[in-house]
Amino acid sequence: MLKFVIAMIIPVLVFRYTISFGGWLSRHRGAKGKVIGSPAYVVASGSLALTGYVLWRMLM
Amino acid sequence: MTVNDSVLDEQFTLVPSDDGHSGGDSGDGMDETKNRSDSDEGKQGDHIPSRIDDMKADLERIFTLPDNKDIVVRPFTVGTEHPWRALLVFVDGMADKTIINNHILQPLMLLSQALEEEPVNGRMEVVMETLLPGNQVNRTATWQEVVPGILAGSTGLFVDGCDEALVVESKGWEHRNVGLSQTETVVRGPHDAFTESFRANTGLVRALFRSEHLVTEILEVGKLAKTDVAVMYVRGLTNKRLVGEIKRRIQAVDVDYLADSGLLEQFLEDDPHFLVPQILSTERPDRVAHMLSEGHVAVFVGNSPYVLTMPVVFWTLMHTPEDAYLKFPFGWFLRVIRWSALLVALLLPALYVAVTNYHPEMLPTDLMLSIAGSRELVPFPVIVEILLMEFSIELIREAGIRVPSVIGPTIGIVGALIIGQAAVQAGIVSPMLVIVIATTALASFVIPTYNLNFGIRLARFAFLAASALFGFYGIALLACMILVNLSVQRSFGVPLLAPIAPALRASPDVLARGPGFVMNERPAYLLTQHEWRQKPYTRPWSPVTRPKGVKLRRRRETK
Amino acid sequence: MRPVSSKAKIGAKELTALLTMYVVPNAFLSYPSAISHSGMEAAWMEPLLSGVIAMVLFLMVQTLIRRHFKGLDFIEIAKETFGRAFAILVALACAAYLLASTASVMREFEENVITTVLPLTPILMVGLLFILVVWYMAYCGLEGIARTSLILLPILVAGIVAVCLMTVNWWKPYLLLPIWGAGPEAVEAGSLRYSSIFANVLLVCILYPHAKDDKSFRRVGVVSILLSAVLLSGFIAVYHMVFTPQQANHMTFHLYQLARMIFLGRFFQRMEAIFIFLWVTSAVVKMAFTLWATAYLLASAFQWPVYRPILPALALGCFSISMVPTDVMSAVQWEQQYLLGWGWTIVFALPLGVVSLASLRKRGRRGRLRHA
Repeated sequence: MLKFVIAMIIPVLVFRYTISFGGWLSRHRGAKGKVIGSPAYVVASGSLALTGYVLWRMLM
Repeated sequence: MTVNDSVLDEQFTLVPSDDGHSGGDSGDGMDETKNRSDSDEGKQGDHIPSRIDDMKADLERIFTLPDNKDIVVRPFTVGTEHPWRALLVFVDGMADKTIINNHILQPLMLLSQALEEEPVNGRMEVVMETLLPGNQVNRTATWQEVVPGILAGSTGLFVDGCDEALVVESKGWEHRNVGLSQTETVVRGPHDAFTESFRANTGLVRALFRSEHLVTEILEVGKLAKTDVAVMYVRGLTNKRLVGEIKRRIQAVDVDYLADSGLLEQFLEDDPHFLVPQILSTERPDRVAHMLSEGHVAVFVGNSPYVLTMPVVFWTLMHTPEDAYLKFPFGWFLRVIRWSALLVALLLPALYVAVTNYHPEMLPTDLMLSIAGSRELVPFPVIVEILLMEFSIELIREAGIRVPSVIGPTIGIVGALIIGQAAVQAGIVSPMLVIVIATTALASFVIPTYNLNFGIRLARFAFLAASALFGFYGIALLACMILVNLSVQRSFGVPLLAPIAPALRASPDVLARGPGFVMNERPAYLLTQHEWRQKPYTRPWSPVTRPKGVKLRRRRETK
Repeated sequence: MRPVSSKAKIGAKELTALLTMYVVPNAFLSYPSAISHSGMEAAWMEPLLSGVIAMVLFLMVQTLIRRHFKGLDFIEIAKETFGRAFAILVALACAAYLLASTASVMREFEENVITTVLPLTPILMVGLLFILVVWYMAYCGLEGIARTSLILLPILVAGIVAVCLMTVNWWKPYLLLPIWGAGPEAVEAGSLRYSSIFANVLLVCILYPHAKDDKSFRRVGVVSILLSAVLLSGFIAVYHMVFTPQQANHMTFHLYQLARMIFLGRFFQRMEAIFIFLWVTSAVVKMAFTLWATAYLLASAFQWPVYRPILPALALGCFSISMVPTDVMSAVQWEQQYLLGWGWTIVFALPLGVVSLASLRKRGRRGRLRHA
């Protein structure tokens, strides 16, 4: 469990970073930005979920 | 909308200079600097008063007289029949006393008997044109121009009744003579080196590179105390945008005092955090002259004995002037030795650790046994052993520089004894490792550029760590990172790994060194105004080296 | 309005090196075993045939782009003719392919590292290091990747040639007989099936606007395809002179197996550790390039002004995908079945389809205009 929690630090940080990138895109482009920012959210959540799954399987 | 995928966009990019307008990029920085320096000096930018007592008062205010004992103010009179009161101002120790006594005071005081009564405002004219035999005399009307002149070693001359001053060249402070090169010695080639004198240094280069196209522009850096910075380049050859960019960067330097060229280097480099220097500093006039002829720019900083040349590519940092002065195969051989030394200095300890820890199977059995035998008594793991040794080598290096020269020889004895004998006999390190470390140290001394040498020393420890943790895998990954980092690095808009990556045209003087008579083109990455250095047939009489298709033109016999 | 300066410009030599560096590392992956399986003794012909196929397709696509869409990449072409939604679909398909191929390359190399040099290190650690370096390289941009590959390519070529020549005392040329191996039809089928390793056609469509000049671009494609086809074919030929195709089927890491055979007297033997440099560096370059291309495609599809901030998430995703198969064999099987087997749809069919349809449409439109 501890291993898993420690290993998840990096993915969570990356997730946080990518979300902020999406937010930046949205602010950057105003109304249209919501459209172009959302794929970043998708990529961020996808990579977090997948990494979580893989690490769970390998470390738990 | 396109993706900005270029890492290099925000950086200055060297492009060919377009004619007609020089220094294309010299925009904001230059004006800003100029404005600021104007306003700073506005306080003392008054005109020189015409009464000599007022002048004296002003001088006392500016130089904090009489507390400031370096400034000498010498009142005297010009002529004897109709004497004019006058003042001489200079800095003790910076001005040449012989010049002041024999060529300023003597003619003015003793040899000016026949002076007639001149109109008061014509006195300066007479002094400048007939009485003063100095070779460089400037006539100025503001303190702003007189004071820096006096501080640079010239002598200020004021005459009663004239709201002007003469600045007479009398620089003559003590400095080291032009001596032997200390850090870039060669066997074949000139041995002189720059010294701690600004004008002597520019003169040394000019004496070698005698061209009317060689231009020296002088800028000043520093708000509190000014340092002269000379930018030297060849007009009509060097890329104008390059010169403009260098001047822009120098003018943007905002410090109170600039001590040495090593400091200016840090202000000018594209990426100062990077291990590899992006400016070449050299103490050899012949090297500067050669680089100027290729289209580089040289920057002289005050009285620093190191001159900066830029832009520089990685490969140049591994060259020495001697490679060019020797015949072709010898220079080439030196280069081969040096490049292998670079690899050894960078990788040998790391490879030793990787092989002994992770891949002992790749060693032939005998060698493996002898390594294992030599390590039998050593209680540490290899990495601890190697770090101990590296640390002591670094200590010897540093001590060798700092130790007072009187007790210098002790360092050699102590170092050799401790490391060579005692450590091995005590079983702290293995003899094999002493060989490895000694070879590495030797190899690192082969690297001709001092700054690059430092970079390699630090990178060596990174490689050691990578190999201790992950063996060859770690070394390979770190090498990839360093390589990609090098390849996006720039020096004044020139990719650091040009002309290899990106591949550009170049004479055979990058990794190896070709013979001197085929160095026909200037490096393409400098984007000079003339690409060709010389015609491709530089030995027209020789059937051996004549390029194919060029026929020997016979001289027609004349009766 | 397109700011031209924001496209990295890459010289012809760097591009050639980059494309070659993309294809040649397949020699270290499961490609040799796939073609040994399909072509048996004649496996060495397959890279050559695949190269010819790729070359023809490359020339077609390149001609079409040059004639009709100068300076545009493949996503921009799709957008111009079929609209934004279609362009996003195309970009997503390509990005998914590239991401999957990066992941599969990564998994295979991780396994190689573990089986050959670091048997005690956990795969997560090995993968983490790999992905860090790959991320950093992709972060440095196309210029950095291309220049690095230009420096590393000579080392890679010299290394492969060295491995091939240093095993000369093990060569048994009769192992290459019968000359047609599994039969001409099988060889042809295998060449077609596995031609997607020459992804040059897709890469050309992505890299086109980054080329410094149009004229040399054709030469870049031709030279890189030729060079990689010859290298791969030579390597496979040497490999099959040392090992029989049946043996090849049971092995995974072919270059390593070959390097292990080196025995030139007592002093030059067991050199395989040296070749770690070779395959680690080329794998890093290959993966960095595909990761960069994925990020670039996503960014240009969704109109992001920059590509770098998405790299960490993509790299992490890539790393996780590479860890999804539970063991090596399933990873290899997965790669052979989907990426190698169906890669041609993305690598050849998609760009060719998009570009030719777009140019037909453009020609039609122009014709209509002329007649109107």
